[in-house]
Amino acid sequence: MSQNTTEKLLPEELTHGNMTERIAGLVLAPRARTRWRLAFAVAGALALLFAFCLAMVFSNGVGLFGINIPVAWGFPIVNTIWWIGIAHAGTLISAVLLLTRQPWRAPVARLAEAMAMFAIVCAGIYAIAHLGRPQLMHFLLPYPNTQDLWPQWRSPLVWDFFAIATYFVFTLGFLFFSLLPDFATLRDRARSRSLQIFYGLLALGWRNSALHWARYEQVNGVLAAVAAPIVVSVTGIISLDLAVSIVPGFHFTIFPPYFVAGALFSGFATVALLAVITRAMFGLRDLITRRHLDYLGRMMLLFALVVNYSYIQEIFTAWYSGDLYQRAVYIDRWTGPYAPAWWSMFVCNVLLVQLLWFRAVRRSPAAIFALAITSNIGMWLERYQILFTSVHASFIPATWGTALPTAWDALLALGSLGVFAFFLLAFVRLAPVISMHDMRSAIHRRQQQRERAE
Amino acid sequence: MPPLKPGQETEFPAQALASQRGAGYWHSLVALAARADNLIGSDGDHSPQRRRMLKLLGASMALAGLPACTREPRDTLVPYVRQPEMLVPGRPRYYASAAVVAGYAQGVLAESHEGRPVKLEGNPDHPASRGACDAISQASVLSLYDPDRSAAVRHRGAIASGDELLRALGDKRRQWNATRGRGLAFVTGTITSPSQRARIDALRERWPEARWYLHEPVDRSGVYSGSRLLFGRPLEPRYHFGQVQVAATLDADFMQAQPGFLRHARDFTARRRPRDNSGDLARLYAIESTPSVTGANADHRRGLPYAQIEDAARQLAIATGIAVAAPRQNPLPGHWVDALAADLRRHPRAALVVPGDQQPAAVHALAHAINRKLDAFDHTVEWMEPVALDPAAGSLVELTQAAASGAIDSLVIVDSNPLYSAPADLDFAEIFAKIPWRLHWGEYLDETARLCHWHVPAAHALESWGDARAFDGSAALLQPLIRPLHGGVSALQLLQMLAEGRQGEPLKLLREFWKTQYGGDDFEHFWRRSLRDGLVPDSTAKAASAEPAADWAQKLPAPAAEPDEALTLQFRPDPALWDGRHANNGWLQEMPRPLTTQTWDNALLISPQLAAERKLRDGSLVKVTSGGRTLAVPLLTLPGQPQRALTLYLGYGRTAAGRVGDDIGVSAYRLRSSRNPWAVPATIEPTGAEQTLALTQVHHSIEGRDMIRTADLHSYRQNPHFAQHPAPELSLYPEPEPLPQGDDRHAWGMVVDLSACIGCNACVTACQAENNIPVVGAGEVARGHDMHWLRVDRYFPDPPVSPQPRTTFQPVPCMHCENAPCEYVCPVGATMHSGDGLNQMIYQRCVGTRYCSQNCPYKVRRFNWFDYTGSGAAHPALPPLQNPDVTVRARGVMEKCTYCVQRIVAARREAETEGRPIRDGELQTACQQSCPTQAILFGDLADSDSRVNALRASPLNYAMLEDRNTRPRTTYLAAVHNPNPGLKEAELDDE
Repeated sequence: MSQNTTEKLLPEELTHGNMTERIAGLVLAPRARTRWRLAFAVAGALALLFAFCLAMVFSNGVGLFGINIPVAWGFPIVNTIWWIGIAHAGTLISAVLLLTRQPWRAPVARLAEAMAMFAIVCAGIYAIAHLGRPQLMHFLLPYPNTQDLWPQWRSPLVWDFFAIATYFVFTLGFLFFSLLPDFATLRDRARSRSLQIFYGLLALGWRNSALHWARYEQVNGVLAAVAAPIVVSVTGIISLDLAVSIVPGFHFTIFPPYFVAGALFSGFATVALLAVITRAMFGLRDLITRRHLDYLGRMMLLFALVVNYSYIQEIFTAWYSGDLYQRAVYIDRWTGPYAPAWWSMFVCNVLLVQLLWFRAVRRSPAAIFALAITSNIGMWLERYQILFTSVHASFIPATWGTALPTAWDALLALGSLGVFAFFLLAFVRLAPVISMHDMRSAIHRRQQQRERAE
Repeated sequence: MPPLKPGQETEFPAQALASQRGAGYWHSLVALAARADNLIGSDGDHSPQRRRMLKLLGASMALAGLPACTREPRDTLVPYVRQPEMLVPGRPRYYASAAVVAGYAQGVLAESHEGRPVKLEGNPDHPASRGACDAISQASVLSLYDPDRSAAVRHRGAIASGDELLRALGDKRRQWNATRGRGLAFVTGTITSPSQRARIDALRERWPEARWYLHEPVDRSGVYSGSRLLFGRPLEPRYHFGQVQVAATLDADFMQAQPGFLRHARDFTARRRPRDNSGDLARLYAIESTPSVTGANADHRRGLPYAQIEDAARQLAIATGIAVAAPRQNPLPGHWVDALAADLRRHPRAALVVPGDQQPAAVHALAHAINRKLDAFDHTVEWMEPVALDPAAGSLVELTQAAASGAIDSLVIVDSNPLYSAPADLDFAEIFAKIPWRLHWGEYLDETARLCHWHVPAAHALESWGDARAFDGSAALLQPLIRPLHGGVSALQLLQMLAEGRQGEPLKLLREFWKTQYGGDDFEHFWRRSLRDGLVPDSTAKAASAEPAADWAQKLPAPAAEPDEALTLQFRPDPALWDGRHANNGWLQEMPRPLTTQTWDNALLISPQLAAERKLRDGSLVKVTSGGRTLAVPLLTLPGQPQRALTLYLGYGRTAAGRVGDDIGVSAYRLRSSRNPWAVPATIEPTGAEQTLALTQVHHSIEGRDMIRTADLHSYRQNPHFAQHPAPELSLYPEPEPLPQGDDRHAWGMVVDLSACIGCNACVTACQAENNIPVVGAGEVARGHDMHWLRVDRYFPDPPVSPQPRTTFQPVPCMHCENAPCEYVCPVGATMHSGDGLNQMIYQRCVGTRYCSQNCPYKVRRFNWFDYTGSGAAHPALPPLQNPDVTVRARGVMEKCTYCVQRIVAARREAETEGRPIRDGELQTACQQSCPTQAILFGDLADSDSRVNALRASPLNYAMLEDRNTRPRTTYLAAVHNPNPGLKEAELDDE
């Protein structure tokens, strides 16, 4: 990356001092901004709604969801996959951009990691809410018991369980380690005793020593190196939930890379979305620049194209297999009762994203914001139509039927957005929304480059 | 301690229960009592006091022993301390009895677990059953435990004692004795019971002025008036379908809705199943006014509005060479009738024309005149004295007239519900209310009972001693399996109370009657044998000689006028609720109706053409108007319905059926007319509103897929292997996979013969009864949450607008795939393969991911979306009814057909005890057992001599979706039809 580029990513007047002052100030300010408080209240209300819906589902049964025989998987699985997809870009941005030393990573990495963390929480809750008997979900664990019963390792759902659990632990660790130096900064800058203790405990005794930094770099490097395979395998395994089955419409070998691309597409879209919101909400337009948005837009476009290629492959395979049932699923996707979902997905994921070829669109926060939303809707619709159309009219015509979402589906989905926002808002109030130490290194690198130039 | 208030102990809790209406289930007697505020000592003082507290503590100790202090029944009660011979706790016992469906007996075997009847199965020795059992008979065991049954004698709505009733009856009897019964009238349904008939005759002898009226909403008066027209006296036909080679029906649903239908279906389909590709098959032509199970199985079918059936009968009569007046118009194509007549004539003594019970006398007379012409008498049809009819009995119309003129001052209603089922034009309710004294005997506090001065609860058939005759006149004994749960009295007891003013022992009453009937000297032997067999020996009715009167053709009513442009509204008994008497039975409400797959509601059946013409679709709410009366009914298109005819099933729209049956559907009786009970002119008018129909199948085309494979006899002979579709190489291992060997190794499998399946859905209810399958209700069915483990898929292979669409049926239980897609995807191993090849469901292990169902290509798995069985459920399971050998499933677990694993285990236990292998045929699944046509065969594939192996070796055998490499253990025999080769081309021409 040229010096020129690095220059443009950082505001000229930014120094160690004023950068730390601004970012730590967001956290340590005694009163939160009004906009934050408003948002937090709304998100909190939605989180309560989520808790209420979950309680209803747990006490009445999953029959509250719009699912039946033949469509036995509905919103909970759609949303699990959707949230996991969102989580992925978080990890990938943070880790892969770190490994490839992308200079524009610093301001968006923290946001991405936090987003991954809370998206995975939503995904996990949805996976549990999907179960008919969530109280027995420990049956999926290989724990010692008197009956010598173990989970069945042939089932992709067991792989899935471990994949999500691994991913959760990984994301938590990755986020927390990257926060250590910043927690130490906050501890040192906090005025009140209680905040000093709070951040002191979180900082785990970080003293900014060279040894600490060496260890930190080691851990971060290892985690980042592990991140990429985890991201690919988690979504890959989730796609195997579908691909391993014999259901036409699920049973495609292309699914793992297709789902990874889809996850990254929606993930980058969500990061872009949050970046635009954070810029506006916290006045960080100079730190998260249009240039950052441009890069995010390019990534969205890249993965959208991979996703589009997958669509073509999927359709081609269905036709080329010559299988009556595979072909019928496709005809049904285009013409059946769920056709509006497929065509809306087509518009969002295939047509609209082509706007990102234009530089002006990529650099416009409003356009990026709009496209991020349509891309997420498109990716949600993609999972929706895969899950519903593949089974609603499969092999035996007498079993054909439709399942339509209920109010509980909608409320729970709305609530999960609230939970996500609630955690994220709480996070940005308790931890620096931009990694201060990464910004410091960026400023440091700029200085070095300037010195070298001089 | 304050004295107990008098009457309080009787009010608790019976009255609280009995007075309850609508929703309001109760969890325990304590909760109920708390609600009723009837707790002992609740005399207004609620403050805690030490002395009072101690008193209550002491009293409760004392009272704890009280429940043992009810009066012992005077009969011998055998305690299990000294175990009766052959009675082993945990092993069910079977008793022969009979279920009475619309008056006629079906022999059943009642399965009893420790004194609780839990299931009814067909009695293999009974002529009307031969081991099969229909849905209505099977479901009667659910009604036995129905909490809504009437539990008390009532006087003007309030609970009264039996003594009060007897006192009131004493007063009335003195009055009737004085007037020789003038003003007294009885209303009954069809009675075939010899003992009840004898008692009624005795009553009429005692009070000769008393009148007897018959009210059977689905009556068979056409049968008797038709034979009277033809022979000069009422006779009842007895068909022998086992000898029929060619049959034609004139609106007769003999496989599903006429007395003896189980036997008819069995005998006839036995002649329609290909044994090999050289044999001949029987042929069936159906001319019918609304699609029926019989018509769906016909080789040639024509749909005509009700009134044109008579025209068709005349057409056919003329074509067979009988001189009758020609119809005003010929509804059937000429070549079709000629082909049919020629086919019938080619098979003298083996042809049969069956008129429908609901058709008028003329159709019956014409049909049997044709039969006479075909030499069918004494071969395929015999005549006998009527099983049910009393020629002296009047109809409801006459009762209404008599009551309106004030000639009736006391009315006794015996198991009839005219207030619900009277035709609308009689204004029966108004006239009924003017009768000064009314007594009702029945199982429910129904619409009629609510408006009677006295109500006497009836005992259920499984609680009472009785008898009834079957379609062939043979008598069966009904024996109780349990003491009346709610103190109901049997029919014989009621008649004795009326005659003698006292309530006798039900068993003694029945024995006394049969003693008078039995001429021999060892009555005890006769009695025990009849009870054991469920059939009175040698009681089949004697065949009567019948010759058509010379002038019958002249006496035929003139041919009906040309039908006008108005639509015809036809009424049919509901395949499950019949005339409405079974409306409070959840199993029946939820049984998919054979052709419509509708549950929990009736709809106006309309032809797809007419619906398209009027721009209406399934679920559109329309107003049907007939005779100035209007009903709002949702529509349901049914291919095969005649274009100008609408059909509405009777039996819905009850207002006092109970918590299950109230306000379900609309009452067709509100449009029925007493002059034309089965068809009235009507108009329909759209309302613009829509209603969700609880259908179990919403897609009716088979989409060109090969789930069902059929051929006609000709192509089958040409290519016996037509059902074998080449499958790609599926495995690298040698084929076929070897089955387990050895005496103790089994490989269970099932073969379903699609040539034999008539789509009656008896198996669905049998499965429900055997496997504790919950009832979920209309809303859940409409959402796709139905729970039946076994479904009967029904397809219309032709486009919906084709004039004579075919119908095919396919029962689909779990396939028990050897390579089961459901098994490898379960994360917790809750569905596994057993050593004998069963695909098992382990409920305790299931966490409810539903992956198994997603991956099941046959979609035979069912999920407990909610708690469907607990006390909070809409239709709670009835604990005494549950099969103790089958787990009641919890919320959140998957379930599916188990091949009746509990029966397999029982048979294996039995065999192991006796040290022998399980015999072929010893083991029957519930669906197989109930099937009237024996379309389902279950057996051991590891036993090379088993019948199931023989069938699997047939070239007709195929597996559904075999190219998915699932290797199902359930396979099908392709259906072979036998259309008239001479008619096929022509029929295509005119389509």
